[in-house]
Amino acid sequence: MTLHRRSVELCLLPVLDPREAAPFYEQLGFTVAAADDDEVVMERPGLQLVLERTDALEPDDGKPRLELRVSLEVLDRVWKRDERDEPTLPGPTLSPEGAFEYRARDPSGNRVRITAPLPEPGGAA
Amino acid sequence: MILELLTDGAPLTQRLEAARREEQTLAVAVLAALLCRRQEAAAALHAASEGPQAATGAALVALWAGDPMRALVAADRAGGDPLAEALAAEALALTARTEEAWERLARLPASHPYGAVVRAWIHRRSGAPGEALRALEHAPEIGLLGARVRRVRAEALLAGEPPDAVAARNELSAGVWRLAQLGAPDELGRAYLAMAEVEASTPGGGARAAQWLARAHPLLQSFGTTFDQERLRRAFRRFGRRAIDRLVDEGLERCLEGVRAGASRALDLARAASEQRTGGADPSVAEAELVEALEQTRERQEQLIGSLEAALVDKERTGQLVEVVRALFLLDTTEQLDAELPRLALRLGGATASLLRASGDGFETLARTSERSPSARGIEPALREALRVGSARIVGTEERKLAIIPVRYAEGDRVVVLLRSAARAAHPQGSAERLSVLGSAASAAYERARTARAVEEAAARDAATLEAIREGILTLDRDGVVQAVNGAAAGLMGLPRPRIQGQTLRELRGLGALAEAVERAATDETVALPHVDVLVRARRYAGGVVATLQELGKARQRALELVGSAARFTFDDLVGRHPAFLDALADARRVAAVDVPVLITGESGTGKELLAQAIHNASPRASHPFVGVNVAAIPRELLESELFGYERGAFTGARARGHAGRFELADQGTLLLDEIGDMPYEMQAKLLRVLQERAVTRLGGTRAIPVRARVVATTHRDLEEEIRRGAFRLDLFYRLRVVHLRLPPLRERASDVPLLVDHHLARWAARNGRAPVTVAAPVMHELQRYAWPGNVRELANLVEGVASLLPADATRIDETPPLLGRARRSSHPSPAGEPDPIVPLQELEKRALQRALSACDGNVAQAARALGIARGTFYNKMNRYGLR
Repeated sequence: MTLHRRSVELCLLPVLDPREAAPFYEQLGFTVAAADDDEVVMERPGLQLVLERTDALEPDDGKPRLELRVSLEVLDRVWKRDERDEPTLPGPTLSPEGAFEYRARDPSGNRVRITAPLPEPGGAA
Repeated sequence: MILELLTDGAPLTQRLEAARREEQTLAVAVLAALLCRRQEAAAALHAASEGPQAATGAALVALWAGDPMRALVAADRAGGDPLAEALAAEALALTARTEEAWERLARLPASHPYGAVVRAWIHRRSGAPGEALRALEHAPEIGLLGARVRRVRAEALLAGEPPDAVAARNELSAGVWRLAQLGAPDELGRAYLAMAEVEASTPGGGARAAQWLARAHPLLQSFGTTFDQERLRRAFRRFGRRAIDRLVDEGLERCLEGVRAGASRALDLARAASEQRTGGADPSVAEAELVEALEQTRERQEQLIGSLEAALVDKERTGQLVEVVRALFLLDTTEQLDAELPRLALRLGGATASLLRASGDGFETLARTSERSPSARGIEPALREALRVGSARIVGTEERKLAIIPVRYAEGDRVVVLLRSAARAAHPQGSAERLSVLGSAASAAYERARTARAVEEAAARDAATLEAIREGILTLDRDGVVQAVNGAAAGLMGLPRPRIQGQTLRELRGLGALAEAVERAATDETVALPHVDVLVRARRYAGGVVATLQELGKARQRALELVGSAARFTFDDLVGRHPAFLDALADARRVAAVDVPVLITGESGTGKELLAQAIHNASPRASHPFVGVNVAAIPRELLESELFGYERGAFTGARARGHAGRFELADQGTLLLDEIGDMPYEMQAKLLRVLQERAVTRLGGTRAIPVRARVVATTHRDLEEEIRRGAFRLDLFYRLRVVHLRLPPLRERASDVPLLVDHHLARWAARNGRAPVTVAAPVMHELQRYAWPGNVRELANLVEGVASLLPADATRIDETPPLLGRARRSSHPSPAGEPDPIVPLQELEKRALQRALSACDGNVAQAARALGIARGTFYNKMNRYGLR
């Protein structure tokens, strides 16, 4: 028998309204695998994200609750959407290690650190 | 038009494609130049019609190609076009004719965007960063020109007094972000180089500067002008070497160690997952960590190669080392590494090479590149020393030099021995260090190969395990294509495995219902396959669905074994002809088919549980579990976890994997809450919530699990009286007592006693292989007169006990059992007639308040009226008894 092994990381994220939060994560490359009023299960290759309903979010310590690596195009989309809502928002920054980094908040207010790789030399030309 | 192209935010490739489509040759020339496609730019320029605009375009194309002189000539043909003047000024400044550049710029308005950038750039180069910043105050910040504005501003900020590295980094950040969208590789390289300068100016930023230099290097080498390349070289001279050396010294070994440690950890995790799987434990956590460890190892390999590349951009020999290390990591097995390592080592210089493995006291040769390759003879002490120290050594005479490269490996240390020919005997400075790097990389590659083998073996074991599982297992990918199917599943589906694998279930005849159940991730759903009914349990995962198939009959048996309770009795086991009893049975038969909660009351021994089982077996839920829980028998503190289950770690002593509660175990069957009247008051509220919400949450859990079981409750207590006493919740009573069946005590149906006696004696005889036993009429008369406080259970025990004491050849009970004689003589109270215990008046008052509150749904005014006291008095009493 041939087994196609797949393993995924699972992340449980409390949100105030899973259905409201889901589109934010869809633009980050997730698709909805299952959904009800209390829980939306989202997936992208290698990662499963479960948005769990909570009545109130615990205060964070300024650190992101979730870190996601996306393509430049996806990061650009997220940034442009946020920029439309808040034109003075600081855009993605370059980390000293060499990646774009953008700190967004999902509709529940969870901090999400989104990173994207630098443009490839070949792709630039 | 050209200036517009420089200040447009759209990706340059898109603009170029549009220009090509619209045959705007000048735009094509300019855009191709901005994208560093110089041949296309030159060709398009050639095809463009002549004129001032074309001349400006030609100036730009020439300047972007690094030819300022040609740019100057072209700009002079542009007839004073402001952009051409600005380009000319830039060309002049590049050739150190700054005075003339200023003259050209003076012809331009201060607001000209390109002119502003050139002015700022010249100011910065002239040591006037403040002027540069002022020149850029109104410069555009979009498009390619905007990115350049950001870079020049960053350079000015860095050149200021004091330098503002933070602001400079922010400017470059924004600039690189724009360039990432635009796609101008030369400008991107310049931005990276500027970033390297920013980092080099930051304390501790040397290593990061080297990384940015390494990023800038291929871009400027491929797309930059000669001016860019000169600037890159200067950067290397200025701060690159120190940063590079540091990177080599500190980073390289760390990267190698990371690869080794990652591979080793992955191996441990692979073993742990395998052991857990074999031991029946859940291996998913170890497997997830294993994948993570493998990913990290792969990342560290990339880092290692990247570090090597970044470290010594212009060192040819290091380039060879990078290639060798890269080739090493492409080898997947120990055997491949053994065969290839000597050949790869030769690429770092040498005539022949061999690979030796430490074996006991000596060394055995594993591979050699030629017959003349060195053996261990005569150099064994040196080989051992190299292995002990862990770094490469060069030994031998001027004529015959040997490089010894130790490769540590858990499955047998190895040594590569390189023989240098006399002609190449002079080893370059630093050669031993590079060979040590090769040894470390080879060691990491061996560990990685070992891990990969362990993972493969684990996968093979998984496959074998799956095959050994009696349940059918089916794995489908996202598209519903069967990826794996074990023999048991294939057997149940009635098809050979090759027919199933690689197909969707819908493509297979007779499996449509199974496909539907799997697609909606059915849980314990009965599905009819062509030859057999199966219980399907499907679960989604990131890559698709895994489903288990169990033959229905076996599944039922297994469920019953698991929950330790089975409904054995049917209505045929309930014996009696008394009208009250028959009425109860008739109601029970009717209610069996209706999916409503049932409350069965009756004294102990009247057959409440038998009736519950009979209802279950006559109901549509008969194929599902019947789970009983005796509320009175379970310690109060354990009752909640027994009923609702718990997650792992919910409390001290909880099982490591958590535990399903009775509600979950009952699943779609029947849950019997035996002796519900003894349930603690506070627990009743929780039970009520579960029944109302039709969902249960495990202790320590957050997930609501749907309750699909039918609830049947029994009690010997008078619940209405319990409610009056404040010991039972009225709302729970109503929830449970949708249908109320009352089993009469045996003393109320004395006419049934002969039937029951005969029934139990016949059962006893059949069970013990004895002849049928009868009861003499006078004895039967006594039995009918007896009050039977223990009801049918007492009767059954009594007659079976008496029958067991009969001589082997006796077939009739002629004597009245002693118990009945004693009972007749005593005037025992009836079981239901026990007097209530003496309770303090305050307790009675408190219970009265509770009852009133409960009956009035918490409405204090109504409760006070019901008790005939003033509301204020009621509140005072509530406070006194702590009622809220």
